[in-house]
Parts: sequence; C-alpha cells; structure tokens
Amino acid sequence: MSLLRLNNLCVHYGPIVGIKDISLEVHSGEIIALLGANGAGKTTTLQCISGLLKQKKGEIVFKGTPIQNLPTHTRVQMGLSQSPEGRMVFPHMTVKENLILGAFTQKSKYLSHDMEKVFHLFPRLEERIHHMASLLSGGEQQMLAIGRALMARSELLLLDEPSLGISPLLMASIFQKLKELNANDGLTLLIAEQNAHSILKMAHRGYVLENGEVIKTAPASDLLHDPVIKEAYLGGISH
Amino acid sequence: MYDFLQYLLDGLAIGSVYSLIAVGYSLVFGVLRMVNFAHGEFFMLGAYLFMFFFNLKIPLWISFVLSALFVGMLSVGMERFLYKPLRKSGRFAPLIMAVGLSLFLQNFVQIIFSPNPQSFTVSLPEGIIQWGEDILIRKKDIYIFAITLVLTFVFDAFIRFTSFGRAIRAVSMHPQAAMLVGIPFNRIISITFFLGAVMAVVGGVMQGMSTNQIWPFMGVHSGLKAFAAAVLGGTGELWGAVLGGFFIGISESLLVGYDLSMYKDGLAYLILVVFLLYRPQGILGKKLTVKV
Repeated sequence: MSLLRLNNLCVHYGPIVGIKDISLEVHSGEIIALLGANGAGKTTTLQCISGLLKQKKGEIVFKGTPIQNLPTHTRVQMGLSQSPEGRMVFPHMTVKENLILGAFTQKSKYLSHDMEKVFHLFPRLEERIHHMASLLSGGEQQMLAIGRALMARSELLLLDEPSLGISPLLMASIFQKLKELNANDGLTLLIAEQNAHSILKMAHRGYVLENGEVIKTAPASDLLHDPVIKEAYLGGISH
Repeated sequence: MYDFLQYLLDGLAIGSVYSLIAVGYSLVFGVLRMVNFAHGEFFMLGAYLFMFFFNLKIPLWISFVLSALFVGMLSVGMERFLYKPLRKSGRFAPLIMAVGLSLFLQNFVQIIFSPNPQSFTVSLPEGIIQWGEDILIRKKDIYIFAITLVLTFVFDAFIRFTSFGRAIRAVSMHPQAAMLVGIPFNRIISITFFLGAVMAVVGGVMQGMSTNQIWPFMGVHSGLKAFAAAVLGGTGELWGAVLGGFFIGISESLLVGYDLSMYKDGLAYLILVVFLLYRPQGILGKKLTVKV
C-alpha cells in the first residue's frame, strides 16, 4: 500500500507556477529520491506535502487519508515529519531544547529514549547538547534538523537537501545512518537532493523534476545509469 | 542623594505598571511580528470590569478572576476574528485594525460607563515606611513592585520550562519550524494573546488600587509608554519588557523630581525614537545570523 500519494499537485507563487501536475507515490519502507536542479520544484513539493505551502489544486493522500487541507501540525501528528531546507533550527535554544520540541506531538515517556537514539546516530549532538543551536556549525545544524525530525517518531521523513553546506565525508556518514534507520526501523524516506550520485546509490526509486514537472521516474539503479540523467545531474562521471 | 533614591523608588512603582502592559506587547510582537496597538485597552478594560463586578458585590478575588477571564477571552476573540483574517494582507492592515479597535473600545467604555473618571473604591494597604532619615516608601508601592516581580518570575518559568512556553518561544523564533515540529500555531497565538491580556488586567487593577481613579483613556496613556518600554527592552523579550518598563518609570519619576515634569510624557517617546533609530533590537534583543 502506498504511504504517500500525490495526485496532480499544483502550487503557484502568485502568477508564477511552482510545480504543476506532480503525481508521485511513496510506498512504506522505501527510500525515494527527488532529483532536480535548483528551482526544479523539489522544495516546493516537500513544503506542500508538509503543509507549509498551500496547493492550487491536486490531492495529497497520506495513509489513505486526504491531508491537503489539514494544518501542518495535524500532518505531523499523523506521522509525517520534515527536515526542511535551510535547516530551520530554533536559533536561541539549546540542542536539547530543539530535540525536545521535535517531540512536541509525542508523549514525554518516549523522550529520553528517543533522544538517546538521536545521540547514538549523531554523537556530535550529544557533545553539543547545551550549546545554542545558532552556535553550531552548518553540518551540526543539519544533524540537529534531522535529529529533531526523528524525534517526532514519524513514519515518513521528508529531507530537503540534507547535503547542502556540509562536507562529502559527513554526508556519506549521514546517508549511511539514514539507510540504517530505513533498514532497521522501516522508516520511509523522501529525500530531495541535487547531489544525485550518492542519493541514487541508496534510494530504491527516484523521480526527476524539471521546471516543476516530473520528467522521469524509475528505479534508482536505472537512473544512475541513464545517460540523460548522467549528463544532466551526475556531471557525466561514470562509475 | 536621598532625593535621587526617593525618586528611584517612586519610579519603580510607576514602572511596574508599564512593565505589566509591556509584557503583552512584547510577547504578541514576538509570535506574530505585529504591534497590537489595542493592547493598552486591555489594561483599561481590566480596571473597569473589575470595578463593575466588584460593585455587584462580588468578592474581590472573584471580581479579579472574572475580569481577567473576560478581557483574556476578548483579546483571543479579537485576534481570531479581526486580526487573523488580515494576517496575509501585509503589516499595515492589522495595524490599522488595532488602532481602530483601540478607538472603538475607548468610546465604547465612555458610552457604557461615562467619559469622566470613575472612582476605584478598592485600595492597596495604605501606610508609609520610613527608611533611614529621609526616604519614605509607600506600602502600596511595595505591593505593586512585589506583585510585578513575582508575576514576571512565574511567567518566565512558564515560558522557559513548560511545553506551551517552549512552544511560544519556538513560534517567536521560527514560525515555520514550529509548525513542522507539530506545534499548533493558531492555538499558541491565542494563548499568547490571552496571557498578555491577563498581565495587562493585573496592571490595570493595580493602577486603580493605587490611584483610586480610572478613566477611559488610561489605556492610551500608559499603553503607549508601555509600548516604548517593550521596544526599549527588546521586543519579544520578557525581561526586556519588564526592565524597559522600570526604566521609563524611573526616568519619569526623576524628571518630575527635578522639576522637569512638563517633559515627563514626552520622554518615553524620545526613548522610543532613539531606540528605533539606533538599536531597534532593544537592550536585550538578539540579532539573528543565518548560516548557510
């Protein structure tokens, strides 16, 4: 059964078309890559799924329920969380407080257990637990944004450009951890990335966006070897 | 020297009332980036409603609770039905709405009660404590100052350590991120309006108990100064608003003390202008840097 389905989703920014007629499906337990250049509509799509942006038309179905008219916090309660573009950590709060807020929709009895789990994934955050989020490096803020999203105990995690502004080494380690979460906990991931190569190596399937439309969808391994995709998003490097 | 200390102490009591109003301005600005210019009217309405209930022979504490609840609900209703529809219309529309509501409430009270000052028949304990040779402290000033401090500490603890308080801070810092962690944005806005209004009611009732007089324009008079206090302290900062209130209260008291009372009311606005020009984030406000 599909966990998330978008049916002909359209978002407009005033007269400008953000995305048009995006249809997409995410099954439970999958890792889905959302590829595309800057401005292709990746962030618009994710923000519309989480409810920060309102669609012009179309339908978002999560766990069999249409959610396109529900407020963001209700979608989070239903099990959909997001690590947003630009990280959006709470700047004048400590790492700990950021994580506590991530669990806002959850019962407090899970709090310490879930926080331990995040620290296990990102030991760096535990070292910085009492630091203000605004004092963290870009990479640490990225870990915090992902950690905070994990605190919501969601079934579907939306990640917007997790590789932005952090070193390839750190990125590889974060991707490795996300893959473990997917394999061990069955966490479903929808990841928007420009860094197509590393994401396609771990994803099951991918969607390619261009000018706000889905131009291609295929299993990740096919996309990785697709000459057109290689040319456009992988810099023509062959592996 | 003794004079100076005396004026300082007098100023703390005046400033306490400004502080209590400023807290509401500051919190609401924090979560919505909107100046609710009708906020001063909650201070005035609180005093009027308290007297109204008290005159019905309702016990003092119950009169207070009723007026706080009533004004709190009014502020929540105003936000829901009058400000919220304007949230997407830019900053100007809600500002004009607030000024309009402020005028409406002032005139409404004049029709229902009277344009003339009303007597406020409840007083704080009278009496004067002599400290050293020359310093005289009114007991009621001590009450006002103590109540303000205690309330601020309670409020501060609420904002710092409770789940709702943390949510209010989260909404102030990053509304979108707050929604993404599942915080119900509109409910938090309502709670913030409610709490701000209740603080203003406490201020209004204390002002009444201290001066034994209330009038329909008391909210404009003190409200604008409290607004200056909020800007001075750093909008969105609880302690900033309180310190700003004390600062303005003390400055006024010093001006009066040194025979410059004609400048008393202008001072708050001078401070407002200077801060808006040179330090818009206020004394305690933080500048935000964004990392890429």
